[in-house]
Amino acid sequence: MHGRYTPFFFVGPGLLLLGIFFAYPLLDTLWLSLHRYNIFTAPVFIGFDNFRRAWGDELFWRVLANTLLYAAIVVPALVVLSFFMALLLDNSLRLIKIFRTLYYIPVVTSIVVAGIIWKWLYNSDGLINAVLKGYGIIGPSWLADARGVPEAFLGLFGIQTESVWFTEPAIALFSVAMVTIWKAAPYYMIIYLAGLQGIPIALKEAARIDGAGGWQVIRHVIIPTIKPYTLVVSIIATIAALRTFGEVYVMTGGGPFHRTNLLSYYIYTLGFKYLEVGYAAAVSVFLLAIILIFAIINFRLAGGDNTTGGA
Amino acid sequence: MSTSTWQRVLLYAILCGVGFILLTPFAWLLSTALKSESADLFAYPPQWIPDPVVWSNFVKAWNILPFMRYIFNTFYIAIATVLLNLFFCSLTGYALARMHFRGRQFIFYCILATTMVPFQVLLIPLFIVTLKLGLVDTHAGVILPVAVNAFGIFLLRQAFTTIPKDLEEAARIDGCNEFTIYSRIMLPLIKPALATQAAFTFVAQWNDFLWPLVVLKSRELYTLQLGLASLQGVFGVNWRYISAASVIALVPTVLFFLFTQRFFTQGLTSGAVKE
Repeated sequence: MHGRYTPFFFVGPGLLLLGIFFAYPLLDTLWLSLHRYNIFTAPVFIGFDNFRRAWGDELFWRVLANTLLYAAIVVPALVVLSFFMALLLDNSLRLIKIFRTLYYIPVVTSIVVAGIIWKWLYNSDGLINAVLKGYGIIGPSWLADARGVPEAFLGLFGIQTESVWFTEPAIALFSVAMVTIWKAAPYYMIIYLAGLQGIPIALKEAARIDGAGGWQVIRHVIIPTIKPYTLVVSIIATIAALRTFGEVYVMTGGGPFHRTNLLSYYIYTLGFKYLEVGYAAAVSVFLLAIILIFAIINFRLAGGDNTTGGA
Repeated sequence: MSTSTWQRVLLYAILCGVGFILLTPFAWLLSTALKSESADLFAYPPQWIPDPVVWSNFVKAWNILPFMRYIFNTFYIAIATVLLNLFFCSLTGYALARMHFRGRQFIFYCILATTMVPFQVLLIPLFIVTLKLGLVDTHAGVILPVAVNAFGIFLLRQAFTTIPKDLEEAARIDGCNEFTIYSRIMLPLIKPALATQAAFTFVAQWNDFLWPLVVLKSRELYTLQLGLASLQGVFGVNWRYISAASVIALVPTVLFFLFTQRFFTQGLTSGAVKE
């Protein structure tokens, strides 16, 4: 056997780094959220004032609503799309490996490059609107339009509406969400693909997408069997969606009228632009709380630890 | 089951259709980067094949931004992170997988729990720590906070657990100490997992944006992604140059991925779900 203290020489360095760059900052977030602090002068203890301030901060509620709305668009879309993409790729065609590789390229594209590409596609005279023009539709200014998607859609048919129910999500938020979906779907597709490849061959072959018979198998055999993977995909996708930053920074800067401002971006601007460090920490605590709530719900739904790959 | 010919044709058609949707944005980027100054970028219908095809946008982008410096910085940061990350993660993962000590399970679950906390929540205090350590506006400040990560520890721990106990005991009888067993016997046996972690870390660092954005202030320390993001201001709205610069930044990642792609799929599929 190894010496009594040997293990601590092994775990020590890693734990030290996690302590400095993870545990301490996490505790510091909680501590800072109770203080007024601007980096230059000493922190002042103000109790729960930062949280009270968030409660009365209209912009905070706007940003929180945006973030939840954004997750509500992105997560279901990712679960569905990545599942069907995986289904499409789960076969032994000769060229299938090439497709698997090509599909994955958006994932390894940096968010800066992806943001630039889509900003260009979304240009009011860009490629997307040129294609729409071919169908006689005048496309909006995708990243700058604060109108609601339902509102604008009804507008296409000449229906004007004042109802607040049609004002969400803003076209710009929807456009940002599309970029996230495009970039992340192939990632979850690979996770699903691993799940599909674990299903016995006999089942899969019956499940080839070849009409109604195939659809029955997908619905009654594959979807139930693949459920643990769906839970993994939805939890990773939810956490990723709630922390989205790069898309907003590169493409919209939170605009128009804060309709694409998401929590991570709000925290960044509060901390580094306005030096409202304490308040930014309080908003971070909200973000953490929301993520933990979603994580717990997901684990409950998963019914135990079969999705964590635990010890 | 033998797939009939028409089924195969149909499948290939759908595969190409989806691939087209996923990759069209890149094609349009490249097309824009190759258009001449006189070509109308907003021509209707869209002009896919530039006429004439020009390469001068790449030269221009290359000359306006110190690309060599950015590429060097990014490479340096990515390689240093990979090496440190493999070292720290494998050391921790090894102990968690193969040693018995009090608190082992507790430490393991704590490390797993860290994956629940998004980086953005720690952003500001992490910046303050970095500031206190005097690492703001240094490459070390970019590297150290990601020199160990829970996913890496988890991945390598899983790999270490699969190695049979006999090997370790044989080495111990031969008089090897624990560190020699780890470095000479165990590490070579988990090469695939190390390669996976290395590939992931490399691409993650090459593409990382938020943390370098916060830490690095001096332009000469910028990474490729920071340089690229700052371009939007420099070039105003000349999409030819911006597109050319984006292609320059994109190509290395895509090439790296194409050569190492099997490690990516292995990493994603090992350990995400336990049957």
